[in-house]
Amino acid sequence: MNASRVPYEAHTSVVGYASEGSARRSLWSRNALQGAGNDFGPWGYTINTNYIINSGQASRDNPSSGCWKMVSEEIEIQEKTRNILEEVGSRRENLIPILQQIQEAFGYLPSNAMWEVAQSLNIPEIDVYSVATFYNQFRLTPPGKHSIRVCMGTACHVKGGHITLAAWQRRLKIESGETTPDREFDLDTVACVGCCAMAPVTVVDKKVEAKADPTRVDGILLQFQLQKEEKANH
Amino acid sequence: MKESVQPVGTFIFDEIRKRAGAHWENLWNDQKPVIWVGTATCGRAAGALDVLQAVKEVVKKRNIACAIFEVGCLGHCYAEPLLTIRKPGYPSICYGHVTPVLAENLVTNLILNDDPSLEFVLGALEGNDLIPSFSDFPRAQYEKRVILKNCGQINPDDIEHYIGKGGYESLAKVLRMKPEEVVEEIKKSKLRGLGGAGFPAGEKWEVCRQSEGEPKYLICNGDEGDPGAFMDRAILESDPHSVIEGMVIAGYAVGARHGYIYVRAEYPLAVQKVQNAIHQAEELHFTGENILRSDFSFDITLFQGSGAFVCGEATALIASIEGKPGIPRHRPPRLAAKGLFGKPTVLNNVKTLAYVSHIIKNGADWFRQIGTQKSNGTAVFALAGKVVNTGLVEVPMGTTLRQLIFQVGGGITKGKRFKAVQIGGPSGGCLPEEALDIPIDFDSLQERGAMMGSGGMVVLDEDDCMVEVARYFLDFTQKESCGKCTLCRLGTKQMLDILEDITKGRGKMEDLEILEELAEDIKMGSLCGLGRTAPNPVLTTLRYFREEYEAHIKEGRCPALMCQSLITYYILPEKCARGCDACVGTCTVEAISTDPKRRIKVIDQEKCVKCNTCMVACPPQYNAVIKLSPPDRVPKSK
Repeated sequence: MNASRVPYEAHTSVVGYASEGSARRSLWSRNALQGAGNDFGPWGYTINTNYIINSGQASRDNPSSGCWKMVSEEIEIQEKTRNILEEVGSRRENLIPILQQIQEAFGYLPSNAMWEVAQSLNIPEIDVYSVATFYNQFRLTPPGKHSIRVCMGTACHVKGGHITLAAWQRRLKIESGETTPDREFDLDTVACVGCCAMAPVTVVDKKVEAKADPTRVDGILLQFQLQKEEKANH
Repeated sequence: MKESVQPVGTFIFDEIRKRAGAHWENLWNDQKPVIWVGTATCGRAAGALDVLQAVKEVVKKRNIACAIFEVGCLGHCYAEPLLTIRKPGYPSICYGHVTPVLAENLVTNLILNDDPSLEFVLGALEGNDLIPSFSDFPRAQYEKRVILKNCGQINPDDIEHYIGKGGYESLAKVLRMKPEEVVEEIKKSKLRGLGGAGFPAGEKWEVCRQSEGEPKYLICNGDEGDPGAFMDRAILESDPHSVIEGMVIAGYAVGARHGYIYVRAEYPLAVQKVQNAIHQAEELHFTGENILRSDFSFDITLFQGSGAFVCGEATALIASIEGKPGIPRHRPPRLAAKGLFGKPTVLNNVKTLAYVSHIIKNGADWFRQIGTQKSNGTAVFALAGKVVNTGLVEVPMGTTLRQLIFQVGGGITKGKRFKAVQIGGPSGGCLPEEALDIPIDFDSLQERGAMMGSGGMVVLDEDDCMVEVARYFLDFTQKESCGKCTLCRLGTKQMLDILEDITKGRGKMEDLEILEELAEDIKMGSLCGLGRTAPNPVLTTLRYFREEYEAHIKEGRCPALMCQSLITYYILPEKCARGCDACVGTCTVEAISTDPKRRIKVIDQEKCVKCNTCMVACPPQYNAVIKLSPPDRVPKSK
């Protein structure tokens, strides 16, 4: 890795972040990633798309605008990823624990973090990508502030889990696997959280909500709204 | 026991046991009351942490000298959160459905005012003259708790509780035996793998022991992916040391050096408890280098799964630990010859390993007395769905399904009629009322088209549509198929499409034959258990509930009124109270309005999303909301 690079140079070319030897490989893998329908900016990094769309173009002339911020976010991702790699140990069999820790740190797997992992473990990026997409736990897009996980287990299903999911979709106006445009909520399903006796359940920010029927969905959302208003008033 | 040579590890273990025993005895013989709250995941979902907080606050506020600790799951999930108080002079009293306010009152009433608040009591933990105990419950005569014995009785975060209850004694005993003797003992007990397939554990160990290659690995499979099953979670959360002890014993028997516990990421609390337990066991030299100062070394690593059902399959799980996508491989070579990192490996389920220490302690003959001729021991089931007493039960093999559901489970909720029981998750099947008298064991269930699977048992009543249940499971397996085998990948998709058509009223009679044909093909053409068992839910429902499929296809009617495309909600004008606005207020999409002329409530069918809220909201004395199928049965409004 080239230690002398400066952030602004980074986004002026595709190879900005890569050392010369890995330039070709990383370009290829980013294209491969792009094909999978992710939000990628002109330089192939999965960072907040809004920055790129709204301020990316302008920032070419004005490095202190949003794009600058984007680069600093990237450096943070890179640093944290390196720390995690050091902590867990850069070995092939540690790939899943490494990705789990990255997801724990950022809430998703940023593409440059995955790239960093591939470099460190000395494996093709596609191997990292195949693991990241095989397991349901990993997500490739940034999460919302609050995570909503609707349990789709058998017991929940017979007690109306699909109805609960429909209620969330209706209220948040997003499909499962998506994040609301204001980044407040992301909605997803989970195979079973093992609270079958409390069905139907929804896991809201790691807290298991028992007997979550459509009216409870409204109640939970109202609670969040009240909290938000309270915060705004203070 | 007197032996000529200095028994390995006895000395150090005796010391540990003495200390832990004293700690445990102190807790009970002390004149101080003891309070414990069940805070496993199911308890937390019901609000156990708030209850615990309330208890801590009231104890502080009223200056009560007592010990408070958290325990795991007692198995009575229907009554969560559970609070148990033991005051000297009283039995340990367990209260159910506790709220923070109630908890405060219960603690002050019993401890300060000597009032046991009988109206809130669920049961006493031990026999006494004052309060009926759990062992007096009618269900107790069918239950036999072996691996669930400690669950909900000890603090999973405190290894001394486990040792105080006799834990790690088997490990100390095993270290004085030869590894071959341990394998022999397990073989003699005929312990069968409790993960579902029922392969004899002793044989597995023996093959691995004799295989060449170092180091050998031992894996505990806690990837409980079956939706509807939660006993592995409960054991790992409530009694993690029993699994760790079993692992070390198994490791000693097969000559393994490293062990892995594979726990699902969806069980964060189990991960936390296991991690803590591993750490504690290491500190007291139950794992790690030179266990209890013997020559035997064995370390245990926790590995978190990442949400893939197929990883419950042994070879997929191993691929996952190696850091690869969890795709099964062909066997042979068997795991015992070539497993994790290409080395000999034994993989056992959580419950199998939890059983090991009990067998070592009580002997193989004790174990063989429990259960039936071919299936020994007990089976743990997670009862869920439309049954009164949801939760965990442990019964001897050979108990009938009827006893389990109606005696232990307390029958069907809301007085509805039993329709079917779904056993074994997506790999199992739905059994009808006629099959209820078959004994539960590995072989009888398989004969009927179901299987033990992981032990999830979801009870279905007359409101559950069997076609929809089959569609649900196919949807699950289709999504979770890893995609390696063509028939599993594409065949399940085709079956799912057909089932979806049927539940939407677009099915044809010839579809049923195609379903059966596809099911056979998928079973034949798949490598692992996921594909080979995926068609089971469809096959069993077709076998036992064919008339429901036919009603969907021929009449466009869902007999159970569950398939959303085939039903409609309707408010009976003659039953509607008119003055009441319950349904209007709760409707999530504002589809219900009051008819200005007749004052009755009317559902706008265009807006209705069939969320069932109005049906729940309508007061039981009116019960005016009904479901109709097919949807065109709704009378035209005048």
